[in-house]
Amino acid sequence: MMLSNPCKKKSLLFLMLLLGYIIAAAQTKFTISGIVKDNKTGEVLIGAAVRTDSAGTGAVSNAYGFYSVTVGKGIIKLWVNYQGYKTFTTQVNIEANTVIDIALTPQPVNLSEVTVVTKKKNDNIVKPQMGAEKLNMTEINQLPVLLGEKDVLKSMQLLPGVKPAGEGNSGFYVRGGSSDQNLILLDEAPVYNPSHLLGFFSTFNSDAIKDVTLFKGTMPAQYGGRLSSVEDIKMKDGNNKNFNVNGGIGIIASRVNIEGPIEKDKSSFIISARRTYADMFLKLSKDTTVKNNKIYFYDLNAKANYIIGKKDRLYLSGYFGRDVLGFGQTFNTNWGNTTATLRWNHIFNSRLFSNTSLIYSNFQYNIAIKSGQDNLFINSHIEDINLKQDLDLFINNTNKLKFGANIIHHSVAPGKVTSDNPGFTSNYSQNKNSWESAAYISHEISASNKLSLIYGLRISNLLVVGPGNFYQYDSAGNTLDTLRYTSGQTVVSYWNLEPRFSASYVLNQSQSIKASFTRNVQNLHLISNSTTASPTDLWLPSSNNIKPEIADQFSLGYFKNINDNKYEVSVETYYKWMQNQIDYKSGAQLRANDNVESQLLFGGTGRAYGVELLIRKKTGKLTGWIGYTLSRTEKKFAEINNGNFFPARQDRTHDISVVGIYKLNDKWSFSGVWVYYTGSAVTFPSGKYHVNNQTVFLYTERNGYRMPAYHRLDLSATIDNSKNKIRRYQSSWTFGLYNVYGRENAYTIEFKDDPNNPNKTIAEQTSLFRFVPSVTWNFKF
Amino acid sequence: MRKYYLLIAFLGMMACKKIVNVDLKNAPQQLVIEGIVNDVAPPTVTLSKSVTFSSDNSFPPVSGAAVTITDNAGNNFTLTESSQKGTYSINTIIGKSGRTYTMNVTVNGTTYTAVCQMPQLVNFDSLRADAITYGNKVLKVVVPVYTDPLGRGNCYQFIEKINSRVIQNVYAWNDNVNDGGTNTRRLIYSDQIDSLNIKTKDTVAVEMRCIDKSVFNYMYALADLNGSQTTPANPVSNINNGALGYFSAHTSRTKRIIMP
Repeated sequence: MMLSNPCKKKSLLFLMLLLGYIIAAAQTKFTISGIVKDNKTGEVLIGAAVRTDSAGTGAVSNAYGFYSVTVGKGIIKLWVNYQGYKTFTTQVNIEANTVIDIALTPQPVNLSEVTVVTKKKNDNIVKPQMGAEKLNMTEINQLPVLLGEKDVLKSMQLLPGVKPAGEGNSGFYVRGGSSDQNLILLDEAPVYNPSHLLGFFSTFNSDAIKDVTLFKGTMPAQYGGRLSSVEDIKMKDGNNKNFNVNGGIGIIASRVNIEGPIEKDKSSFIISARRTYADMFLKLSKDTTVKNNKIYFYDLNAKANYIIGKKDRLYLSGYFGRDVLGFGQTFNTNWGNTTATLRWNHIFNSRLFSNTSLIYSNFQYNIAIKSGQDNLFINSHIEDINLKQDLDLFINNTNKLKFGANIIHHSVAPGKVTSDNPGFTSNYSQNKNSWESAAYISHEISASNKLSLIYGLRISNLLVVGPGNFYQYDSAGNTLDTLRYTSGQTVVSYWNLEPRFSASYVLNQSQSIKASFTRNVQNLHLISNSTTASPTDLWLPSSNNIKPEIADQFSLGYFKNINDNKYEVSVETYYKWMQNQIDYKSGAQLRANDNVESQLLFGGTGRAYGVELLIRKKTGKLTGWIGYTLSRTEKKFAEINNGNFFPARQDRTHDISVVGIYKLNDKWSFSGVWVYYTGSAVTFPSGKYHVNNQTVFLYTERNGYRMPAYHRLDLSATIDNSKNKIRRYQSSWTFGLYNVYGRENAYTIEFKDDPNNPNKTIAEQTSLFRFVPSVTWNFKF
Repeated sequence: MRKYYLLIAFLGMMACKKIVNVDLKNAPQQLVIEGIVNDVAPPTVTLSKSVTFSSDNSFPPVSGAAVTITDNAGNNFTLTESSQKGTYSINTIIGKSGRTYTMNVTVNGTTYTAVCQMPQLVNFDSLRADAITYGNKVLKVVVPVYTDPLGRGNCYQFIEKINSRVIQNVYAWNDNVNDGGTNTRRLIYSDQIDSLNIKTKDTVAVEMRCIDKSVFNYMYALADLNGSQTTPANPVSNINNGALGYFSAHTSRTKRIIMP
């Protein structure tokens, strides 16, 4: 007590001083604030740089285009720039806090290489945030992809530190994390199953996407809930000036996108739809076995927004997608995500911006199996309702505060099995209810011209509540005790503190070093012992048995821009330590099992470390990058490999990607991607024996072998027919070839008895996708 | 998952398979024990050794072991090696439902022990022919008809033979789904080589076993190893001291059907 009093006094004094400083600053200085948007479409622009000739460093527009800069009294010159747009300049006489909304004009494409925009191209050097990548949608749309379906998640896998989960797969691993440790947000709503057709396509239709930011585990405090990364995907708001229709017809899918004003300059909508037609090809088959199969997916993105007045704006956005797979009457299944987000932006004053969101997310699957005269049905879902409040306080040009809180209700129905046969006893796995809440504060400060910091703290809680039975197990998985809880009764509560810290030190205008430390906590766990993603994989919240997963990551980086910021070079290293990891007992029974937690192994640790190298060219006729990652990811469980560290499946020693986009002229552009990575760590047999009338393989260690190295070259060419830019109708053709040199990359290696010689065993490799051509026609009017 | 997998291959269109050489390590030879006590035939214990992957599928039998089986009714039997090397049996006894059996196998001074209780008999009422139609393809299958006793925990294994050929599928079922109900689930055997599938006039014989939970776990893990996409591991044996294999005390009933 004696000690704490002076401490309290000191901090109170400090607070008063700080407050006094802000108030004093407010009296002699004014703020200019407003929204930065696209002049032609009215879309707000995220991350536009706003600078003034007044003292201080300037500001960057937030996720809703809002900016706020502090300036002195008098005539102020204001510059705003954003990649791909003409720099905006204006001069105003400031005598009070002023609102200036800024409309930027898109740069004609052919001018981009000659116009020298302002010097503010070294954002990557001066910003304290590290391990973050903002993806350029124009760039993504130019890269060659499997079957011509452009895909943000697949393009992201070309960045160092991000690795594909498998051939043509939209699942990915970030810095040694597994694919369920990525938080994928679509307009703030988590998307639980981000893939279509068992992973070959992502759920994100790039027509509807405005902005994608990736944080490789180094996320600021406003994000939380997953260990290894955040993919923050934002949908377009819709053109509030003119109607626009664009779309594309490809060999596997067609897309259409309609947007326009509801009330000009005030409100707009956008609807994007996409459907694949792999099943149309099936219809062509003479074989009715094939003909009666169903395989397709579709998705629908829709968004509307309404500007209520100078201070308020409402957004409503939603996503609905389904995959359908069926074999005649015998087996039918469908699965998909539904998300909805209602947001309310409110500008309290020129410094304080607020966003309130109500978010819904659902993932479900349904299976119907015909068995004789009976039909068997299997259903499962996970459903979230999330209320979230975020506030941005622009204290001054060097201090920015973000704070907020949210509460999510998770409801998981792990699965029920029912039948239309009245004699059938249904199986219901108990629904699981939990509340996940968090509060955060994050302070971004430019401490000096050279040193900038973002530091923050997130406090998170998971509250597992009844009703339901909760079990305690012995090490063999036998139930020791069943605890019964009534509705709303607390089963277990986990509190966690998650510090986040990121700093940059600018050596000079073209060089900086950055460091960061983050702790992330994950309370939802994907239960799957399969090496391929399946829609029937189960999400479970932490419980009395499953502890929250925790990851601590240190990272250090060196950033340099060469040749007047034309080339960016960066080296980042990281070391990550993971606790409370989950693995599976051998032969784990994960389906239709109320005691699924008895099938898991707990208390694993993991470590991941590596170096990421990136060289990028951003301007000129030829743009692109070379990325290289050297890394290791290992796990340790008492029950596996005698308690020694073993390589995780996502462990890949080397990973290289080379990306090039060449714009020959207004009409032709070409792009190419080459990737190489070390094969995944896998478990192969080291012997065989005979039991139960069959050959059984003998395994000696976990992941002691490697799949063959993977490499592939893809090329594409785009011809743009819109010679006359004034004409409203425009179209382009894209031709692509996936796996140009036809490398037979191993998808699986299966060990089995030789069908031609039962006295022998063989290893059989399956490869997918060699020389896959594609053609897509895109239009806009 | 197998169904999905075939579909992925179809989607790939150009998916191709080839035999590859994989440089595999050679694990030291390990003892494999398969011990069976049932309620219709004398107990047998088969001992063999594992071999390296590149060897032929001939597994050296282990001779000269001391094999005993005791039960919780105080009986103690010694099994002797038959003319078929590595197979140990005794002709004078047959197992009983509800009893707990302990198997002891001593090889080169090391004793391997396993304990297993023979579950209560669940009647195997009949074997019914059924068919699955995929477009214009018809796959003939059979349905073992039995009524599961109410209350979770019953485990079953089915051994299917087509004209005396034992098929490789491991059918390990429990009553987590349809507890207390009459079974309608089918034994689905679908070989890529069509001539191996069940045809009209084939004799299909199915042995239904009521098995202990530890044996169910073993068989489920064994089924999981066959072609699924999980990270493989050795099934957990109910025999101690690191022997491979299992010891099962189970009821056994067999039904036959000539396929229509």
